[in-house]
Parts: sequence; C-alpha cells; structure tokens
Amino acid sequence: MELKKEFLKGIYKENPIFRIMLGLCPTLAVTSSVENAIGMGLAASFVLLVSNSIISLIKGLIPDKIRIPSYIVVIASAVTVVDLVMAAYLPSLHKSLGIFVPLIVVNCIILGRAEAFASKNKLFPSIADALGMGLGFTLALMLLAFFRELLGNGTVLGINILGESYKPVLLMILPPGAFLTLGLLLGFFNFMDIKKQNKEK
Amino acid sequence: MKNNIIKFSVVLTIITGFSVAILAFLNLKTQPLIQQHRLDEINNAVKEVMPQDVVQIEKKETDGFTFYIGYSDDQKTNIAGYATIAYGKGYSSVIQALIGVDTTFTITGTKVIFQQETPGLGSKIEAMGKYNGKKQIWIHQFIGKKENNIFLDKDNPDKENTIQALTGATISSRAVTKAIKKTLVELKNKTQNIGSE
Amino acid sequence: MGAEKLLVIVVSAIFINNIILSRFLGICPYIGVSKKLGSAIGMGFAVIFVLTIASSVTYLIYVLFLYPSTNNFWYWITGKMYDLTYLRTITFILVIASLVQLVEMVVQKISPPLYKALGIYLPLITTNCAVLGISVLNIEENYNFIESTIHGFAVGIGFTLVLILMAGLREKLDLMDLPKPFEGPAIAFILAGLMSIAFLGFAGLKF
Repeated sequence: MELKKEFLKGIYKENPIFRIMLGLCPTLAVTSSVENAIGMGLAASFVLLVSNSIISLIKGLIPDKIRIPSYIVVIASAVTVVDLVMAAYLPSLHKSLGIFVPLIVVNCIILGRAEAFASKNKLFPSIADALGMGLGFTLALMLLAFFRELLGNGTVLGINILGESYKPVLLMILPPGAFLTLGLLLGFFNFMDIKKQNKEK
Repeated sequence: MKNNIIKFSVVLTIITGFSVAILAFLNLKTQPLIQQHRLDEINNAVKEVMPQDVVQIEKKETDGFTFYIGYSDDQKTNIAGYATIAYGKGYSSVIQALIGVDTTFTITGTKVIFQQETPGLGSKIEAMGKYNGKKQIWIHQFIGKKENNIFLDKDNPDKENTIQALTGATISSRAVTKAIKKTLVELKNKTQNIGSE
Repeated sequence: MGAEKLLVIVVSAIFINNIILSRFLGICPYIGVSKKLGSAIGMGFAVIFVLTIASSVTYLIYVLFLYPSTNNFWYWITGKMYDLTYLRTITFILVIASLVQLVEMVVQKISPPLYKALGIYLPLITTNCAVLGISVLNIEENYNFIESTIHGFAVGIGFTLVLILMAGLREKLDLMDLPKPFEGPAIAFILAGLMSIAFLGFAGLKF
C-alpha cells in the first residue's frame, strides 16, 4: 500500500542519519545516553509530524518565493511548543537535552522533508513520511547511543549491564567516541550494501 | 511586482501572527510551572545540605555575597543553619559546590551543583567511591568539618583526618577543598550580623 | 578587566570548546564541504562573517525586544514589562534567515566572482546549527554585546580552522586506497574522531 511504503522508507532505505546524512548535529551530541537519544528522537519526530502536516495542508496558500521563510516560521513555532511543554512537564529531560531542543529548528531533516515531500504531497502521505523518518531518526539515535553508553559507561538506560568491574572506555561518551562510532557504523552499513549488490550480480 | 511584495508580506504576517498567538497562549499556561521548577531546584538542593531541622529557607545577599538562612520554625524566628555556594576554579571549569552548615559552622551537607571537569577523573567529585575507608560520595568527605580542619591529604601529609584527593584529579580536588574552606570563612563573617538584626 | 575574559572566550571558542569537534555544531556543512580546500576556505569565510553579524544582531534583538528590562523597547512605549523570551527561537531563526539573504545580496553586488565561488553554500548557512546555536549560547552564558560579537567571530575562526584541516587531510585521502565501505562520509567521521581526540588535549589549557 502506498502509505506503508512512505512510512517504511524512512527506517532503513532512506534513513535520515545513515543514508541521507541529515540531522547530524544533535546526533553526535545527544547519543551519549540512550535516554537522551530517545527523548531527542521523540521530540524531533513530534516537530516533524506537526510541520509536515501543517505544511502539507497549507501548501496551496503559500507563494513559491516565500515558501522557505514560511516553513521556517511553522517549524520554529512547533519547536517552541515542544520546548515550552518539555520545560514545564519534563524538566530533567529538558535540562539534559539543553541547547539541542531549540536546535531542532535547524535540524535539516525537518526542513528537508518539508521541502522535498510535504510541500508536494497530500496530508496522509506526509504524515506517513513524517512518522517513518521520525522513527528512523529515533532508531538511528538509539543505535548510536546504545554503543556509546554501553561501552563508555557500562550501562544502558542507566541500568548497569557490564558489572561493577567493567572499566568504562571513557572516550565513548566524549566527542571523539561519537565521531568514531558513527564513522564505523556508516562503514558497516555501506559494507552490508556492497555485499547485497555483489549478491545480486 | 509591487502586488507580489504586498501578497508576500500579508501571507507571512498571517502565518507569523497565528504562530505567535498560539505560542503566547501556551507560554501563559506553562510559565507558572517552569518558574516553579526553577525555584524547586534551588530550594530542594539547599534543604538537602542544611541541618535536618530546617523547615523554612530565606535567600539573602550582602555585598555581593549570596547565602541562605535556614529556620527550624515556620515563623522564621529560630535560625538553625546557613548555606551558600562555593566557587572553585578547577581543571576545566569553575566548580560550584553548595555547602550547608549549622549554627556552629560545622558542615552538615555538600552538593556539587555544577562541574565540567574531566569525565572519569575530576567529575568524580560528585560520584560514589571509597574515601578514607568509607563508601561515600567524594564531596561528602567535608561533612562534619569546620574551617579549621579542612586539609587535602596531598598538600598536608602530616595532618590527620584529611580529605582524600581523587586519583589523577589533584587539581579538581584541591580546587574544591580551597573553595569550601575559603567560603566557609566568608560565610561565617557575613552572617555575624544576622543575630543582631 | 574585560580583556582577559575576552581572551578566554576566544581561546576557548577556537580550541577548547571547538564548535565542531567539541560542541558538535555545524557538522552538516563540515562533512559536505570539507572535501576540497578551496570550498572549505570559501565556506569558512562566509560562516565567520555571518556568525559575527548574527551574534551581535540577535543579541541586540533579544535585549531590546524580548527580555523584560528597563532597556526593553516595549517598556519604553508602554511602561509595562513583557516577557517575550519564548519567542526567542522564532525571532532568532528569522533574523538569521534574513541576514543570510542580505549577505547574499550584498556579496552578489560587491563581488560577483566571490558570490559565484561560494555558490549554494551561502544560503545553506541558514540551516547551519552553529549560527543559531551560538546565538542562543551567547544568551545562556550571559555575555554582553562585545563578548557576544567576539564570541561569534572566534567560533567562526574555530570552524574555519577545523574545516581547512579536514579538507587538507581529505584531499590527501582521496589519493589513497581505502576499504570500499569506508569511502566518503564514513572515513570523514573517523578522521573527525581522531582530530577530536587531538583537540581534547586543549582541555587543560591554563593561562
């Protein structure tokens, strides 16, 4: 079914982080713990859902020349909504995510999908696209965070997995760990792709 | 051409207007909660480091020095303790440690409110470990001390009952120790006049 | 005096808290533009320019229009205090988008060859997390006007520095044999990781 295709593509084939390489800034910063990764993923997904929906609904009313500023206003408002609601109801998560909550505005995924999809498609496909991309983004963040938190802190979601005697590889939760993990994962996914291509030959 | 500019401005203004209206409404609803969280954060921390019998807290400032008075009664007549933040220039950040004392100026509680020291080394000032034979958070070593018996073992090997410095984080340890000692003296001086008010 | 704090801000922005290697802001163009030295330099200069101006303009707008104080414009004309800080995100990004648009027009008029050389990188600066990020950071760190502007400028320098270093390295890498899965962005990230480790050494800088 058409909608299902729009939804699923965001998870692997067109995964925003590993494939299209969008939304990298928050990716490296919030993946030092799985909890932050999930929080950021859901917040960004919510903004993506709202912005894709609204833009898809009003796309006919916006003159082409001012479409980018218009999208920006819609996205910035959605982000401010998330910012305020999080600060009021989830203060500790808000504090951990810090500056990256307002930065969802410039998360290329959101503007990217608005321009590439929501501005050219109807409401329901746009919603499917947003959900798929959001989920793909969240899963990618969680994967990265899983490795970083496990190896860098011995825990996953704060629960000690590797035991008391595990000496954490501190590098993993520091900036270099983020870059290295992402680079290695990218290499891994590319490797899987090449293998698949060779198989098909 | 001119028509277009008017059209563009109108559309943008409408979109922006709608957005601002929604945000203003939401802001009104969430502001009280957000302010409350900020107050709670500070109050909870201060209560945590003050003596057990403190029920009311008051913030005061004299000559640029901010501190908190703790009262053991709701009418705020009986002073039971004080608290203030000690600032110490650490390895890679200015460490902020909240210290609470009783009326004899013996430390009753300590809490790291801010630090950006090296993770795994200096950051351990707020982590659990075994110090002086006891399993405790590093900065809790200061509890029970007065300003005349705060010594870091690395700098005073001849003294007894010293603060055990963190392995590989002497600078962070020293920063906190010096800051707490200095601030304790300052707190004592600045609160001298309270009783006579 | 203020000069010492400014020096700390500058050194910190370029080395200790480098915008890319430490704060993770400005990564998208970093990976995309750092393949060739020429485009890296062009992008770097554009970013320095926009960051400096954006830092000062967003600061002024925040202090004069959003933050409730006696300097506030709305206070001047109505005598009442309005807390409009929740409009920070919207105003800042609109200011940045307009600034980039303005810079585009100015560059196009003053130096068409430069405009052509920068190409699409110029409009893309709007979505560069570094610009919005630093504008917000200036407010959070309670910098004054001069500090905010200098901070923006220094961050731009730090960004350009790392971009140029990376481009130089990647140009060399292009001539080497890499395992196929790692060609492109993958090796770029690993390189960035190694550079990030090197820059960690600055954390203990004392002066």
